[in-house]
This record gives sequence, structure tokens and C-alpha cells, in this order.
Amino acid sequence: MFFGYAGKTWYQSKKNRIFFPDFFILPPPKAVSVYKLPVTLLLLLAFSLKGIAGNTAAKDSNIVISNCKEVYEFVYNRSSGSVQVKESLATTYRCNDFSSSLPIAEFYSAETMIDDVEFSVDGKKPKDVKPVYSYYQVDDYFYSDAHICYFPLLLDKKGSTADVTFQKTIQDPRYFTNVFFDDMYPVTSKQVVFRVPKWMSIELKEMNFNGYSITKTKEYDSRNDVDVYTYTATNIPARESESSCPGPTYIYPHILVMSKEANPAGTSITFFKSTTDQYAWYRSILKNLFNNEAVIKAKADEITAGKTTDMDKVKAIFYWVQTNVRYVAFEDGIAGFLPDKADEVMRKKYGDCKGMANLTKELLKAEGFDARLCWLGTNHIAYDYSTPSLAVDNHMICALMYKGKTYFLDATENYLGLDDYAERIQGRNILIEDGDKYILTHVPQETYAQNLDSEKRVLSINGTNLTGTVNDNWKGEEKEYLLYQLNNIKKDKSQEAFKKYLAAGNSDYKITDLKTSNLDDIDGDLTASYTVVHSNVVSSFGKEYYVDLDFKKEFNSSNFDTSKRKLDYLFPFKTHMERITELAIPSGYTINSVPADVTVKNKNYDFSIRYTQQPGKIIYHKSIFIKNTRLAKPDFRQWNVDIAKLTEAYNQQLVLTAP
Amino acid sequence: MKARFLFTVLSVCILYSASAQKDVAAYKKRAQDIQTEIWGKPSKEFAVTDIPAGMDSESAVIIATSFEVVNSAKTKMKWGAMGSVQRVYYQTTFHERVKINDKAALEDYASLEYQKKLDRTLSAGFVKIYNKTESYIGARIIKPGGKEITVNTDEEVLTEDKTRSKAGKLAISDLQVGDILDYYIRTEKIQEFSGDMQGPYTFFMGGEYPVLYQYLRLQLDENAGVEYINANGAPALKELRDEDDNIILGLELRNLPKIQSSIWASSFRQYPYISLQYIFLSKAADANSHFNRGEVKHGFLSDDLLDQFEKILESPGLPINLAPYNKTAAYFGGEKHMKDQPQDSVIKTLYNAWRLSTFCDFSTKEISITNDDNYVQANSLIGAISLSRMLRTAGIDHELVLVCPRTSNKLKDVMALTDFEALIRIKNKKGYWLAFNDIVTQFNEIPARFQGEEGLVFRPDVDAKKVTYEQTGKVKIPVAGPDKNTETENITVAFNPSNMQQLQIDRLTSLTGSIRHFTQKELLMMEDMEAHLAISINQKKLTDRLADDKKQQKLVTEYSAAFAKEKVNQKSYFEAEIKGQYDQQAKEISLYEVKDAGLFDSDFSYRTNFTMDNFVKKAGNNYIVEAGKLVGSTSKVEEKDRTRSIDVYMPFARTYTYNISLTIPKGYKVKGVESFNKAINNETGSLTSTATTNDGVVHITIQQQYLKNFEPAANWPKLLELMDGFYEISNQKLLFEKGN
Repeated sequence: MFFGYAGKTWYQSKKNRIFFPDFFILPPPKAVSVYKLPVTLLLLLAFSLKGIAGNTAAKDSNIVISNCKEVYEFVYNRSSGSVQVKESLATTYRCNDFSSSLPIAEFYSAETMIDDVEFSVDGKKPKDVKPVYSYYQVDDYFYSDAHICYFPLLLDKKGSTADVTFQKTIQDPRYFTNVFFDDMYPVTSKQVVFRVPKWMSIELKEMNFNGYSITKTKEYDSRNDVDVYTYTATNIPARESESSCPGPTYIYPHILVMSKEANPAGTSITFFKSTTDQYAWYRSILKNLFNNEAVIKAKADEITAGKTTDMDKVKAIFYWVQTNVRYVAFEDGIAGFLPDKADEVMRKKYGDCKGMANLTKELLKAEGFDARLCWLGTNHIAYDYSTPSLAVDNHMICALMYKGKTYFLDATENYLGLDDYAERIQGRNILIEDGDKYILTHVPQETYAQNLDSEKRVLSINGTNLTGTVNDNWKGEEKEYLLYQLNNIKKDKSQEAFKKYLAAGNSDYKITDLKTSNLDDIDGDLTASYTVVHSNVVSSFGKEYYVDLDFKKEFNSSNFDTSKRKLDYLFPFKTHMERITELAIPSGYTINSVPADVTVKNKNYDFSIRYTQQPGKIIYHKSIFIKNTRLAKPDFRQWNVDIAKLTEAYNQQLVLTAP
Repeated sequence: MKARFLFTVLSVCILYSASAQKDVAAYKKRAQDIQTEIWGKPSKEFAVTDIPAGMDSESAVIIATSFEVVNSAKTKMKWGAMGSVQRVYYQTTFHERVKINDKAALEDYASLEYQKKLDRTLSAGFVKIYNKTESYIGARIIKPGGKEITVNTDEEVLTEDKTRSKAGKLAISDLQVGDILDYYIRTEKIQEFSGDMQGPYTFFMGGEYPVLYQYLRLQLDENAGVEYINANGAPALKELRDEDDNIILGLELRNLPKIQSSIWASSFRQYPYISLQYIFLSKAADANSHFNRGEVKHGFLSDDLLDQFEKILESPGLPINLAPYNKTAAYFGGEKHMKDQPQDSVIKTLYNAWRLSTFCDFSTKEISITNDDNYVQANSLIGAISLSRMLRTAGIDHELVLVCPRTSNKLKDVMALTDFEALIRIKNKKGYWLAFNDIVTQFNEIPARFQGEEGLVFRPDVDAKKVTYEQTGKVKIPVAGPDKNTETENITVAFNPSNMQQLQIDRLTSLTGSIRHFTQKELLMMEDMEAHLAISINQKKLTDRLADDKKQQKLVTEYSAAFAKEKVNQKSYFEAEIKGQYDQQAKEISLYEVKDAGLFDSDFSYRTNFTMDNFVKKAGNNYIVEAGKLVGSTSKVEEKDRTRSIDVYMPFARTYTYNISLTIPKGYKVKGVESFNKAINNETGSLTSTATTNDGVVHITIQQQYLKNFEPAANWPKLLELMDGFYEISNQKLLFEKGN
């Protein structure tokens, strides 16, 4: 897929061997708001690492998992008085076609320890292989406590097998969130066994089992007073590696493990029986949070000095945090749930989502506003708080309760104004602190109208050129995207980069006299105006002039290869694009032919192209709305049909005849 | 007993803990001392807080940057009085003061990563050979109002925390746009028993940001040997001795503008830089080193270095892989027979045998066949030395030529043998060059990066019993003309009868010379290349060879499976090639085939047949074809690149030819043919384009030629004329007008 505004990477003109860097990188991964790495993410990291090592594994059946047995047992550790989960992960790999190196990787952290690892190839332990244990750099984290145990095994002939067993301990069942059945290799057979003592209360929720061969049995082990749940999956295909796809919890078969409570040896431990318990646990961690209120107050007063209305004060604080605090993610043990002190975030001028949310809250509170911390899961996660679990949320923001309305302030979103919401949190279930209680509600679900990318051009024909003036306007996430890029490019290159962006990389589109609104202004719209000379866009043959009124052609030929793509497609945010080009018809000229209009309308998107003739001019009006950012695979065919209509419309030209 | 054991264990733990704590305390003390040393009395340049007006528009300004080296040697008595050992101390300090003007620079400077500790001390019995490195960082922020804040380095996080190895990173607290960041990294190393070469340290005069002050100072032990070059107009270092006879080298520069990147430039040829390396030398080591103890060698390629290379060439113990030689002998029916053959045949076969051995040496333990394998680059020094030995054994007179590629430093600026690459030259009647490059480099093909360069010649005495080489002077490496590096495309185009806005394209592409390599490696299958190379020396292809060997027969199915798996990807490579050419994907590709792999003395040619959208616009009843885009996507040189003061390092002289035949659909007339007529001719090259209509077909022939691989800056406007002309043609269109 190619999006007109997403830009291209380095490309090469073979003729001149000129390499042109694209000034506009794709939107950076949004500040990863995972404030803690649950076991889930560690597993996902394992996939990605293996993917790096063998990046065709997802489509490769040379290595398969012929058999896998994972046993999870809840045990009571008397000396620590805590419930732990003992894991035994035994996997047999087989190489089907030709010898290959098999990269083994297992993640661990402060909460999930590796107790032991054993491995053999064709029944023998390879002498020269030693597992390496080291720090693992997680993308988007400055530092996390994620570590990795890795080693390669050589399957040196067709039919070779490797057996690998990890013994692990999860220190707290709260961190034991889910178990997936799929892997980066095809899985022939996998058994997942839960050994649950009678003193342990859990719920095993089956997710995305439809379409997969997974059976379940339950037995009682009377000797140990343990219920044994056994899931057996067969012929699970390898995990797909596709861009812009929904998070794995939406797609792949897995079990969401919800530990509720335990009563071992006469004790009573509450995990998450309900959202109330989950909230209570979060709150217990927050009790260790002591902010320096005097320091915060001084800063809040400084930020809001001269602001007379409440909303101006709120905006001043919210935008100050966005502008002055860099996102730097730290994860280290239980600190992964405890926000950094607000005064510390302020001192350091960096923080992660928890720290930034806490700082926003404390600054607002210092000015007398009712501000609170909130937990939520972004749209990367399929769950909500109806299934209380640490897997449900990965982000923290601030809520402002003001005159009966709740505003959500996410300072990790640079350049997004108050009361605008990023796609990834729109409509999401959110847990707001309310003393000993909590409020469970949803972030507002916005429509595409929140965002805007509009352009109006008034042009006239000059030989084979079109010349005129252009006015652009951006709002919402469109604005955020642009401002982020412009402010993160070297300032001496910024204007040049902006011109290149406005010209869609077209070197015949010459922009002069570019004026913009304040590029540091988060609150208002972003606007730009300029004068343009667009060369080589009018073709003349004899008395006839052929004019191409759309030089951007967004979504042109952006089809899905339905024979290859397996997963739904996620657009980064809803699109609201308007393009108006007004072309003055030279005196005496007649309009010979006007391309046909196009109208496409359905629940997911609208495309519209209209030509309107008025005295002395013709107006080209294009609208593209992406109303639903998740395009389901069954809708790909219709999308391709509609894109074909759009492409056909783009390849039509206006024809004028000279007198 | 148990209590005693426990006591012992406890004591060890306490001792260990105490020792570890002592290390930490010592580290902290040293860190504090260094901080005082560096910030205690800064030079006036490192105290600057105001930057010149006009530099506010820069992303960042380096107010001051310094690199200082101290090296000294001490004598230490080893345990048991086994003799004295030199303990050499190395210290480097990098100190920088930078004004942060925007978020991009803030991101650049917002964190530091460093190797905090690396202990490579070897212990054997009572003997310890010390080798320990520790690094210390410091950072402070100067706010716009002048307030100074020292960053707490205890906020570092350790990404590696082992006893002998620690690595860390530090996010700089409170750094904001508008601040000045003043930071340093000091590395201190103590090493016993042997001295490693330090460097090369390379300093370009300028960088990504403008530099107001740059300072370089080295204080080296009197017994150090130093070599340095100052290239491309960089100033020489000031050299003197202090009262202890230490070698002092220094340089101060001011107001260095930032280096702006240019297309077709060669950094090591065009931007001033200094490169320096040194080593602490004992008397014994001095004799065998190209460094001279206590001496600064400056500004020239060291004869000692070449002598060292000669010794390597002559070394009797050099490990040479003789497999190519043996395969060549087998080809001719034995070594005796081989020596009776015409030399040209022997050389050619030997070269192809070397290619096969080098690029098609597949592991039998771990099978991996991917397109990545096509991009393996041979080490030309090793390749040339190996082949020289084999040619010598075969009694064939030849020369080994050392050369610096155009993309790297000049010959006179060589600092180490690894700055060289190598070729073999056969000086018989015809004269051949043998290059050790990539799998697709042909016999007698010189890689573009060597062409036009001066090489140093080493000639073996092929008749002597002992291996001897002699330096016999220099040679200029030939430059291939534009007729040797060609891209020719014969493109037949028709409208899709069922959809006039879709073009059916049949494209036959033929590439020669240096233009071939990129696309050959993109499209060819390793399986096929291996087979071609094997057959060229009368060997069976891999799977057939394996089948003949009882012990390896089982690998036949494995390799066949691996090759088959890679073959599936070939279509996607052709799709990517089309996308790279036209900047859009083909709608559908119905044919893709390699006509000639071009591995030996022939062109690389391939054919693709595909449909394309977006080339045809509908305009009423008529159609406009962007016929100019059939040459592939092009861009205009940007405004900022249109003026140029540095010379132009073109990749190579070359010719592009496009023969386009576009069928006029029945019932249509074509207009605009004349817009394709163009002719430009200047001393840098030519561009000709002609278009005619004949028998219902529009024929367009475009040829662009760049005559040389190097042009002086003064010729840039002429090159622009050619590039602009080509761009203009690529924008031309044809109108297909429906007849009445």
C-alpha cells in the first residue's frame, strides 16, 4: 500500500544514480505507552527477535514445531508467603527439508525468571553451545528490565530434531496474563496444561479459537488436589508478519488467564476477582508516590501566569508538558507500575506515559482542578476491564473533570490539542481513579471530522504550467503528524522539507512565498499558504489543452493483494481529506470534456470526486474519508473495486479547446 | 566443620563485597578528579555561552570540541622477579560544548551510551597480564540565563553489568532546546606486555553542525611511533617535544562550516581530514613494524608499510586455498598438461575456478540459500594474493597491483594495508586484469571504483624457487568508456484492447559493464550462477556433484529443497525491479526470464512482460500516454544541488539507450511525436532523442551518454544540461486522438 502523504524512503534513480532522502519519515511509533511488560509482550518480543534472525520463518515450513507442551502450575511458596506460577516449556523443533540454524530465545525479567534450560539436538547435547543471558534493548524503551536468554542450535540434516525445555517461575500470578498457541513456526501439535490447585481460583478465557483445531479436557488430580485443564491444538499455522495489522490478541488463538484469588495453607490472597481488585492493586502501588507539591505549585503558577480563563490554564499546562517533557520509557520491576514523581519528571524533563500523566495531573491539581490518573489499553489490545487483568491496559493518561465533562489529557501525544483524541485511545475503556473507588467509562469515540487535511488551490493556465495560490489547513491527528515531523527535522531544513511535502515530492511543483501558522502552536489549526508554479502539467496538442487537476492522487492504485495479505488492515488514524482546485478558464476557451464524477460510500470510507462548472472556472473537488480505521479482510475486495474507480478517475483529464 | 565452611564462605563474600565496594569508591573518586580536571580550568573557548548572530537558524552549533590523548609507559616488576614488563597507559578525552537549537539536536544529544568498564586482564598462575579500560562521563547544562546544572551521572542505567564488563546509558536530565550541553567522555586504559596500535583516529574538518572551535592534542610517550596524514587541504599538526621528550602534536581550528552532502562526492577525496595512528614500540618490536620508534611520520604512504606488504606476499607460511588451482589442473587433465596449454585459457579457467570456490562454497552443515548471498564481496587483497601464488605456481608472469578505490582515501593517504585493495594484471600480448570483487565480475573486468586510479605494482619472479616479489613502480588503471557500461532497453508497448488505460509492456533489457552488477545480483538465482560457473570449468553443478559422492548424497534433496524455496522468490525480485524502475508496481507480470546471465564475456539480459496502470490518461475520447516515463522514473536535480564547488565523482562513464515502440490503436491518430526530438552535446556527454511514426507504430529512440567517470566542478552546469534534458524528455506525452 502506498499513501500519498506517508512518503517514500530512500529511492534511487537508476539513471542518475541519485539518491534522494525523503524528509518525511513515516510517523514514529506512537510513544509506546506500555508501562509494564507483561508476559504477553515478552512472548511477542520472542517472536520479533526470532523474526529478525529468520525473517522468512513465518512463510517457511522448513522448521516446524512438531510437538510442544507447556505446563503452568500454581504453587504456594511458603517461605515468601506468595503464590507463584511454575512454567515448564518443552518444545521439539524439526527441520523438514534442509539443515538450518535454529535461533532459540526466551525472555525474562524481574517478575519472570528462568530457572533452568536444557536442550539437545537429535538426542545429544551440543558441546559448543552455551546459552547467553543478557540485557535486551526493547524498541521504544530507553531502558527496560527485559533480558534475554538466547543460543543457536544447528539442525544439521533433514529430519533433525531439537528439544528445548525452559523452566521458569512467574513471581506473581498477576503477571501471568495469557498463553498463545501459535508461534513463528508452524505448530503441528501443542498442549497447554494448567494445573490449578483447589485453593486457587482462576478463569481461563478462550480467545480467537474459531477456525482452529483446539480441544479441551478437564481432569482432577486427586493425589495433589489439583484441577488439570489440558488444551490440545493441532496444525496451527505460523504467525504472519504483516504491516499495519491488529494486535495479536485480536487475531491469534490464546487463553487469557485471570487469577482471581488464592487460599493456600489457611491464608487468603486476592488477585483480580473484579475490576475493583485491579484498581485496588494499582492504588496500593500509588500509595508509594509522594510528589513535592510545593515545587509543582510553583511551576504550575509560572506556566499559567497571565492566563485568565480556566480552559486557558488547562491548555497552558497540558501543552507545556507536551512541549517540554520528552518521552523516554523506563521499565524496571515494580517500578513499571509506579509513575515517576511529578517533580522528578519536571526536573528531568523526560518521562514515560505514567510520569507524564502524573505530572499533568499534579500541575492541574496545583491550580485547583479536579485531575486524576487513568489506566487504559490502546487499540493494540483486544481486551477491556470486563476481564480484569494486567493484559488489559498498557497506557496511563490524565483525566480532568470540569463542569460535568471529562477531558482526557494524553501528554505523550505531541501537538494534539485539548479535546482531540488519538485514534489508538478513542472509544477505549478507561479506569479513572476516584479515591478508594474508580470510574469506568470510555474515551470519546471521534469521527473522521476531528481530523482534517484540506487544500484549496486557485490556479490559472500559463502555457504548460499551472500557476496560482494555495491554502492548506490541518486539524487533529493530521496536524499532529505534520507538526511532529516539522519540529523533529533540523530547523535549517524544515522549510525545505515542508515544501517537499506540500509538493508531494514533485520537483516540477515550485513553491514560493510559503507562510505558515506558528509551528509550535498545539491549540489551533495548522495552516499554510503559498504561491505555486506547477510545470509540465498541462499538455497542449494543437488547440487542445489537457489538464491534470490532481497532482497528489492519494490512494492511487492502493490495492490489497488478496492472494497474499492474511490479516485486517489498520489505518493509523481516520482520514478527512478535502482537495479543492479552482481553475480559471482562459478567456475564449471552451471546456471540451470533463471527467466523470466518482462517488463511493460505505460504512468504512467515502471517496468522492466532483467537477463543477461555473462561469469562467471549473472546480475540482475531491473528498476522501476513512471513517473506520480497521478494514477487515472480507472488505478487501470491495476496497480494490473502489480503488479501481478512484484510480480510473485520477487518470482522467480535463480538456479545453482554445479559440 | 560446617561452621568453619560457612565462616570461610561468609568471609569470602564479605571480602568480595568489600572489594567490590572499594572498586566503586575508587571509580567515584577518579570520576570526581577527572571532572575537576576537565571543568576546573576550561579554556576560554569552552566558556563561551553566546553564539554568533545568524547561527540561531542552525539545528545545533558546536561551540567547542576537543580530543586529547595522553600515552605514557612505565616499568613494572612482575611477580617472582621474572623480569620487567612495560605497563602502557592510554588516555583519551573527548570534550564537547554544543548549543541545542531545535528538537532534532535535542534528540541527538539527549543521551549518552558508553562502555563503562572492560577488563581483559589475563591471569595464569601467579602471572597477571593487565589490560583494563574504564570510562568516565560528565555532563552539565548551561541554561539561557547562565545557570549551570551538573547532570547526576548516577542516574545512568547499566545495560551490561558483569564483573569484567559494564556498559551504560544516561538520559540527560533537564536538557531543553536553547540550552548549552557541555559533556565529556574520558577513557583510561592500562595495558601490560604488548602495545596495540591505537587508532586510526580520523578527524574531518567539520561535520553535521558548524564548529566554532576544534582542538586536537596528543601527548605521546617518547617511544611511541606515530603516523598521520593530513588530506585534502587539512592543515598539518604542530609538532614539538616537551621536557620529558614526549611527542606533542596539536591543532587548533576555528569557524568550520558544516559539511553539506552532495551527490556524486567522495568524502575521503574531497573533504579535509586528518587521520592518525600510533603505537608504543619496544626496541624489539621496532624492527618489525612500519612505525618507527620515537618518530612522527607524516603525510606520505610509508615505504615501511609497503615493505611489510612485500614480506606478507613472500611469507612461506601464507595459507592459500589451492582449490581453484587444483580444479584448473583437473580441467586440463593434470598439472603437467595445464602447463602446456595457452596461457590465456589457463588464466581464464583459473579465475573462474576462483569465483566458484569463493562465492559458491556452500556449507553442508547449515544450508541457507537466499538472495543475500549474491551480495557477498570478496576481500580483494586475499583474492589477489591467493591468485598470484597460483599463477606463480603455474609459471604465468603477472603483477599484483595495490590500489585505493575512488570512494576511499587517495594512494598517498594510505595508513594501513587495509586501506588498499588489489588487482592482478597479466601483461601478455592481450593484457588482462583480474579483479576479486563479487560473483558477477567477469574475467578482465575492472570494478568501477578502481578505474583511473594509480596502482602500486608488485611483480613476482615466477621462475625463482623461493617466492620473491619486487616493487616495480606504478601503473594507471584503465578507465572504461561509456560504450562499455551500457543499459539498453527495447520496449514494445501496446494498449490493452479491453482497457485502453492499461499498457501492455514487453521489455528486453541488456546491461553491460558496471551497470550490470546491481540488477544481476537482484535477479539471478545463486543456484543458476553456481551451475554456470561450475560448467565453465567442466565441473558438474552442485547437486550433481553431491549425488556422485556417496557420503553426501543425502544432501541432494536438502539443497534441491533450499534452491526450490529461493526460486519461489524470483518473481518478487522481478516485481521489485520493475517497481524500482518505474516507481510503481506492475499491475500484473506475465513473463519474467533471464536471457543471458552475463557471467562471462557477455551482456546480462532479461525480459519482462507486464501490464501497467497510470501511464494513460483519458481525456474525452482521446488518450494521453506519458510515453516519456517508459524510460523509468526520474527526478530533477534540486535547487540546492544546482550550484557546486566540489568536483564530480561520477560512478562510471555510461550509456543509456531506450528503443520504444508504441503501437497506435486502430482508429486513432498520434500527436506530439515531435516533442521527443532533442539533441544536446557537450564535453561531458550527449543526449539525443528522436521519434518517428511508421506503419502504425511510434518509434522513440533515446540515448544519453556520460563520457567520463570524473568531471571538474566547472563542468557541473554541463552535466546538469544533460540531466535536465533527460528529465524533460521523461515528461513528454503523446496524444492518441480518436479518428472521426
